Amino acid sequence: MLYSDVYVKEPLEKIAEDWDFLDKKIIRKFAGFRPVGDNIYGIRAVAHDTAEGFGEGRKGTTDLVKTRKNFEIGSHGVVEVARTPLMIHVTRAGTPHHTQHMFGYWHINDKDEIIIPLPPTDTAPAHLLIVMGHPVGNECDRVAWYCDRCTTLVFMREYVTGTAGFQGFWPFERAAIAEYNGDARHRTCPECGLVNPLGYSGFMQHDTPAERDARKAW
Amino acid sequence: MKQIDASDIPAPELSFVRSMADTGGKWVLHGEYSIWSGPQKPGKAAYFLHHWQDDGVLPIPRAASRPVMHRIPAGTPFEVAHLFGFWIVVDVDTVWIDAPGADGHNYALIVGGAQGKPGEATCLWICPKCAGRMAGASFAVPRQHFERFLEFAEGRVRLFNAQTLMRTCPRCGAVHPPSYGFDASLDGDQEREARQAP
Repeated sequence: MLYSDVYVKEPLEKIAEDWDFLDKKIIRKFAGFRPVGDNIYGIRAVAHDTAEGFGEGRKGTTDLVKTRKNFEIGSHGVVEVARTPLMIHVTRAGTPHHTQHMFGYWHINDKDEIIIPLPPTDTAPAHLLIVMGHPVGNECDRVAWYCDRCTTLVFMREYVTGTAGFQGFWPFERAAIAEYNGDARHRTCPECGLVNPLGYSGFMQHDTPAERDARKAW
Repeated sequence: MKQIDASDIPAPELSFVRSMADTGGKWVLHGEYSIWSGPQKPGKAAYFLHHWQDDGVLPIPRAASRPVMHRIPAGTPFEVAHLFGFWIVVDVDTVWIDAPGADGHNYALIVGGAQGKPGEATCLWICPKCAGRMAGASFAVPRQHFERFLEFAEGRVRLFNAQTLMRTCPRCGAVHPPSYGFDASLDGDQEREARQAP
């Protein structure tokens, strides 16, 4: 190898402990979302065969379900988008997107969001990598709910992540969900009158029994 | 006043995809990231990421039985042996993914994450005898046109290969072997040989 004469002599782990985000000792740091440098990273194991397995011991609180579906909303309404192994999927800034059983709302961010499903190997389950730009200035994250029947915007809360800091996103998320779930009027479509299902967090340990049922349903 | 027909307004793009198994080997320059991805079949020289630091070159181990995901911080020179023979420095983070699959390894380089970047990119070489930087040249990347930097680097590679003086380390005097650009289809005999060298 051309550069072998000038390789750093120290073991890589000593120089950069987290040189591989998928290392079994490092990966747990990305169970939620973790800002590192210019991006925010999330890594999810696809550990559940079905949504019935939530809450099983030794499974992570953000683990995914193999049978999940992914959706985006555009000018033609709700569209299902594939998550094919080794396909880099870039959700453009401003696109409402939702993943079944993973988070019970539509996430709308001001940064592009890259999602890469990796297939299982002999030693690791399938994983989903999420990479999105670190918001700055007035750039926001939003959690929103659209009517299941007519796709009208029913309820939305906005967090100015760029100014308030990413560390406040999860408390914001939980507060928005509690507000939405706490009053049926928030969930009632102003256009067609449908009362929409409850929302739920990206972390399943926060689920109330009713929210756990919602997680299994949508 | 001209009336605007709503049907003339293009619908916003929701998302797009790029396959890590796509053999096209071109960069996707779209949205807030510049993305390259591609496979390397068994039997071909595997791509290998090098990451520079003050006291030498860090070889980033290849994925073996599971994928590897490595972040290259903004401002850190990196090179992917057999993919491009020069070193790149950009003013924004880069993510390297090496995912083994049934038909060999699949790779991705994802450059971006901060608004308006990459705004500046540098092409340089690292001396294989003393790890000193050599023949560096910076390029102001036009907004969302990272490919222009790659064209610029291609020109630098030609110059580098043509001029022994440019390939001579100013610190230790060692002569760097010929190099190669990003696009293998543009290789001459010298670049092709350099790309395949172990």
